[in-house]
Amino acid sequence: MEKSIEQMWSNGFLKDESLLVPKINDLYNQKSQLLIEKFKRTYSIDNKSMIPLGLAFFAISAFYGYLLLGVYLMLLTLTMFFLNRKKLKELESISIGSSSYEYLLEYRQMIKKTVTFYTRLLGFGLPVMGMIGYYLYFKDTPKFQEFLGQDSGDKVLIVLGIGIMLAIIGVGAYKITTHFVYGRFVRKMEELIRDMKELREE
Amino acid sequence: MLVLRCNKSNFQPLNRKRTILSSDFYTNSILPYAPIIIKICRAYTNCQEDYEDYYQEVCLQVWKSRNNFKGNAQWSTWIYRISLNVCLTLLKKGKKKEEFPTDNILAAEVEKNNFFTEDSLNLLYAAIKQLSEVDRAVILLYLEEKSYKEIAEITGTSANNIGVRITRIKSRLKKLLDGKIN
Repeated sequence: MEKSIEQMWSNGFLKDESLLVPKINDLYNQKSQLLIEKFKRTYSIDNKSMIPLGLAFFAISAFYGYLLLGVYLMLLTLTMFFLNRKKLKELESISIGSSSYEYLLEYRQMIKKTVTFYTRLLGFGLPVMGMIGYYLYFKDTPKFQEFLGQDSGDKVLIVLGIGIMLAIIGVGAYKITTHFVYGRFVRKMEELIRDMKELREE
Repeated sequence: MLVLRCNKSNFQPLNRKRTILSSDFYTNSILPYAPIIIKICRAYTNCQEDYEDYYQEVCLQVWKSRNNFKGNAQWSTWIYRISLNVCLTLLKKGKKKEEFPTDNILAAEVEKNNFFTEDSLNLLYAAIKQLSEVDRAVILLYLEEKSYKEIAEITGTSANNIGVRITRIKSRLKKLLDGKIN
């Protein structure tokens, strides 16, 4: 017998089991885990990109005759790779435990610590490492001789100026890339934490 | 109209065993309207897993937007609106990609999505899923006996052409169902 769509609709829902409410799972646990998994994947890919970068530094420097500088830059980049890998392992060691809220809080804390660590490393370490790089690049040039001929005060000023510039560039570049690569995750994480906090307080 | 109750003690701390959605808010303000959410989520998903995800996301968004409800419309209208918005957003995000059949394979669709006890309802849903996202929303609201004005409000379209649109959708459904309806 033919039926109208209105009849098919209303008759279809007469039986209660048609509208059985699905079981609600722990939505926030799922969301938290998905977010963290994505974060870890991005971090891992981001870190692996250091290897070709290091090789490129080496190849370009060697091509232009700065073999020692190339080795130095490659070693620096690879050190960063291993350092990042260690940080990633630390992040992986956080267990979800009994509450996704605590899990996210701990994760956020660890991310903040990592950001502080790299900010300091780039702020203080990059000028030192950069200075060594400059030395390797300029050591056999007349410019370096010219620099050596300067007054001690001028030398200090030049070194300080370059150091400060490198620190600003290093920290700035780190902040910008972190914002673009991880900003979305951090915002999402903050949103989840805010929701869960609100729920706990209500 | 249901008055929203959101007692401060309604929500339990989150942990693996308890969920926010087992709260009084869910019981009092969502559960009575669950059929609306179920009917809409079924029309936008093709498997049980997606359907449950969509359902949960709608419940969560209803809870999150509860303070935006000013009482200008019925609570059920609010639920319709959120349900449709969530389903369309999730579809758009491509998280839960739908597979649209290229030709009329309703029988296969019904077999794949045999969620309801009534065969004719499964068939109708399979046909509804062949419609565009907005047409699906319009016909669902029409079948839920919403007025043209309400349909226009919820879907954000003009009330003037809702009647024409519904006639066109019904004719398409009739064609899809190949004479199984009149």
